[in-house]
Amino acid sequence: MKKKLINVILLAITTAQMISALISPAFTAVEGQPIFTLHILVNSADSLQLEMASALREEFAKIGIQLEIVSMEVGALTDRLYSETASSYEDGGWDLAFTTWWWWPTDYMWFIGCWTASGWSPQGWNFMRWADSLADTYLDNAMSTYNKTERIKWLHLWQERFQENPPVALIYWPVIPQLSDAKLQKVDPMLWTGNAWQWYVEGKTPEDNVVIKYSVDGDPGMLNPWFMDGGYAHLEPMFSPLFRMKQVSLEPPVYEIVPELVESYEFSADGLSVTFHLLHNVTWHDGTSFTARDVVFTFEAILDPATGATSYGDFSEFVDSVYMVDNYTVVLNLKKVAPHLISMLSAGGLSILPYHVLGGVPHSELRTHETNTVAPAPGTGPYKFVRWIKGQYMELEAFDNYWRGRPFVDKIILMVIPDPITALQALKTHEIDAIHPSQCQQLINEIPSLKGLTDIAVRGGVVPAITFLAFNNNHTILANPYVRKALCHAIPYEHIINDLLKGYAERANSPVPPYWFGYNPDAPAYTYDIELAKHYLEKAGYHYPLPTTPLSAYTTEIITTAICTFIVGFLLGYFIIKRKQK
Amino acid sequence: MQIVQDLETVEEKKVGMLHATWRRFKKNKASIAGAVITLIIVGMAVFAPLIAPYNPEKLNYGKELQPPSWNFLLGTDPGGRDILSFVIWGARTSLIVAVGAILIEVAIGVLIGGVAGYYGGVVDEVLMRFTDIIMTLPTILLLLTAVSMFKVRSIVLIMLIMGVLGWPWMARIVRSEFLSLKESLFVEAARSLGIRNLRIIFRHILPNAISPIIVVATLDAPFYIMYEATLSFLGLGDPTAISWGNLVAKGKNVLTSAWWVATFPGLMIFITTIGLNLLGDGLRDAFDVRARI
Repeated sequence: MKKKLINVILLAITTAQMISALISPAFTAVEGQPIFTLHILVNSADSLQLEMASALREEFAKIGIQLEIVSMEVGALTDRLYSETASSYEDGGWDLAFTTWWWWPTDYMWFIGCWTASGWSPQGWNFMRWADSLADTYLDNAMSTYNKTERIKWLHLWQERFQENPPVALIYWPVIPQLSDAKLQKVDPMLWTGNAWQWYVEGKTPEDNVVIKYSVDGDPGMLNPWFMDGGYAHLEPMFSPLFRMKQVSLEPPVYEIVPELVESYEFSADGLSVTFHLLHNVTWHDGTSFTARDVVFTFEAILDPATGATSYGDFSEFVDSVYMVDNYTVVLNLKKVAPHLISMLSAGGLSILPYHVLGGVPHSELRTHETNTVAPAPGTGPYKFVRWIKGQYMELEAFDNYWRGRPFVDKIILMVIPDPITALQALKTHEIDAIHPSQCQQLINEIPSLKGLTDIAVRGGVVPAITFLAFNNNHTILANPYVRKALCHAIPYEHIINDLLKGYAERANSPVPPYWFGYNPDAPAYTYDIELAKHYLEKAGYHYPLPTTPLSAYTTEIITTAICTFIVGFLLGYFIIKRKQK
Repeated sequence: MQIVQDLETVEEKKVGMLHATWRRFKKNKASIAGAVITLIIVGMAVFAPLIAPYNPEKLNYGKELQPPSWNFLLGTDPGGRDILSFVIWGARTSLIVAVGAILIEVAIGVLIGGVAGYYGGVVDEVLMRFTDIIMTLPTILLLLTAVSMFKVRSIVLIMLIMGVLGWPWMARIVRSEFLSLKESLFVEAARSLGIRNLRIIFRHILPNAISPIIVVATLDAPFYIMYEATLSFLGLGDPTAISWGNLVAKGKNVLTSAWWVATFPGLMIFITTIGLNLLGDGLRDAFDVRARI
C-alpha cells in the first residue's frame, strides 16, 4: 500500500512538471532573478505586434527585465489602456503596449490631446498619462500664434524635449506599399479614395467605360460623414469638406492642405475671424447648386451638441459662430487663435452636407435619419451613390456635373474582402484593381514574390503615421524617466525595421512624420545599445551584475525532462519485472 | 464476504482478456501503424527538449522565412523561429491539451452516463435529454462561442472548455454499457449482498465497461487536437503558445511566398490525427465492441 502511494506521488510530480512546462514556457526568460517584471499587451489580431513583443522579450531579458506577453482582443485591450483607476497590469490596467497613430488632419491641435496633461484619458488620447510642464508650454506656444517661423521654433523645442523625457519609445514611421494594377495610376496610400477624381488607367480613353474595383476590409458604419469613426474610404469620393489634403510630391512623399470648395479665404487682422469665398460652379448630386447656406447649415449643426457629431469637441473649442454674408461668402468667428483651422476643416468629419435635404430635420434627429443607413444624402464629390449591398460591395458612379469635370474612372466598386491574402489573390487574377493600404500593410511578406509580375504595381512611401511602444507613465517603475530611457535603448530597432517589416518602415526620431510641417530632423533618436540601457537602469537605482543561476530556463527544461523520463522508465521497468516474477 | 472478494478479483481473468485483445489487435496492420505513429508523436512530445535542435522561441534575427536548409531543416517562420523545433514542441501542447480534455470528458461522461444508466427512470430521462440537447449543438460552434466569451485565452482554458463540452458522446456510451451490465448476474449478486450503489457503479460495473471508454477516448483524441488547432488558426487560441494551429495561421499569411510555414505543422496535425484514428479503430476491433459503438 505504501509503495503504491509513493509511486502515485512520483507519477503526479512528473505530470505536474509536464503541465507546468506547458503553462509557462518562458525559455527566453532572464537568467536568474529578474529586477522587475513587466507585461506587454498585444492585439491578438495583429501578428506583427506579437513578433515585435517576442523580440522585446529577448532583448529585455538581457538587461534583467522579465517581459510577459499578454495577447487579448482589441476591445479588451483598449478598455485596459483607457482604464482610469488602474496603474499597472496587475490591477487591471497595463504596463506596455504597441500603438500606431495616424496623423489626423487637425495639425498639432491633435498633439495637445495626445501628449499633454490636458489630454489625459478619458477626455483625451493621452492614455500614457505623460505630463511634462516644459513640453506642454512649448506646444501651447506653438498653438497660439499664426506666425510660421515662431511655430516651427516651438515645435522643434517640443520634439527635443519629447525625446529627452520619453513618454513612449518611438519605433518607426510606417512605409505603406500601395498594391494595385500596374495600369491604374495615381492611387495614393495616404489619400485612399480621396483623390479618386485623379485616377486614370493607362491605355484607356475618357470615352471608354472604366470600372475600378477597390478592396476594403469592411462596411462603413454609417453613410453620414459627420458621425463616422473610420471607414472614410467609402464616403470620401461622395462628400467634400471645404479643404482637402493633396500630395505635392511622391518622392519624398509630401502632403499639403489645399482649398477644395473654397476659392480664397482671409483671416481678419486679429486672427479671430475668417472669411471664405466659395466656388460658384459646384452642384450637388441632385442638381441643386451649392451655396453658403449649405456651409452655414453644416457648421451650425456640428456646433450644436444635440447633433452629436464626432468632431463637435474639436470644432466647438475654437469656433464661436458662423454666418452668411452673401450666397457665396461665409464668415467663421473664432473663440481663440486657431492656427490649425484650415487643417481641421479638411477632416472628413466636417464634410458639407446639403441644406435642401437635411435642413428641415431637427438636429437631434440627424443621427438616426434614414440617409445614414439606406442611401446617403447627395454630396458634392466626384462620385455619386448607386447601391450598397452590405457585406459585399458599394457601387459609386462618376458624377457628370462634378465641378472639375466628369472624372476619368466611370465606376468605383468598393468590394468587402476582409482577408488581405484573399484580396491579393483577387488582385493577381484581376478581379480587383487596387487594395486598401491598411490591408497592404499586412502583405509586406508577400511583396518579394510580386517582383516578377509586371501587371501589379507596388508604390507608396512614408505615410503620416507613427508606431511606438507606449509606457504607462503612471506605473510605479515606469514613472522613472531613466527606466523609460533604458527601455528605449533596449529595443532592437534595426531588427524590427529590416527583418520583421522588410524595410517597409523608417526609423522615427519624432512623433511628427518627416516632410511634415514642423518636423525636427535634429531631434535625437534612441539607438539599440544594451550597455547604455544598463547604464540608465543603474542610474535609476538597479544594480548590476544581477545574481545569476548557473542554468538557463531552457537547459533546466532539458534536464527536468531527462530526469522525468528516467523516473517513469524506472517505474515501468520495476512493474514489468515484478509482474514477470509473479 | 467470500463472494465479494471473489467478485473483486476478476483481475486474473483480465490478463487472459488482454492477451486475446492484443492478439486481435496485432492481426490488423493498420492498427499497428496507428500505434506506431502515436508512439512516435508521444515520444516527440516527451523528449521534445532533447531532440529539438533549437529553442523553439528563439528568434534568429535576419533569418526570417528561410526555406528548408541544412541549418533549419524545415525552414523558419516570419519571426525567425526554427519550424522543426516548433513542430516538435507543438506535439507537447497538442497532446497535453488532448489528454487533459479527455480526462475531463471521461470524468463527466462516466459520472453522468453511469448514474443515468444505473438508476434509470426519471434520473435517466432528465440526464439523457440534457445530453441530447448538448449533442444537437454543433461542437465547433459551441466551442467558438464558449471560447470567445473570454478576452484573454490560455491553452489550459481551451483544454478545460473542450473537456467540459465534449462529454455527451461518452455519457451515452457509458449509459448503454451500464444498461446491459446492471442486469447481469454479478451485479445482482452484489446488490443482493447489500453493497452500496456507488460502490457497485465504480467497483463492479465500471471495470467491465472500461473497453468502450478507452475506445471512445482514443477516437476523441484526434478531434481535440483538431479543435485546438482550429481555434488557434482562427485566432481564438493563445497566440503566444507553441501550437501547430498558431503556426498554420502564421503560414496562411505567407502561403504563396513561404509554403513551408503552414505545410509542416499542417502535416503534423494530419499525421497525428490519422495515427490516433487508426489506433482507435484498431482498439475498437480488438476489444470487440464494434456492435456497441
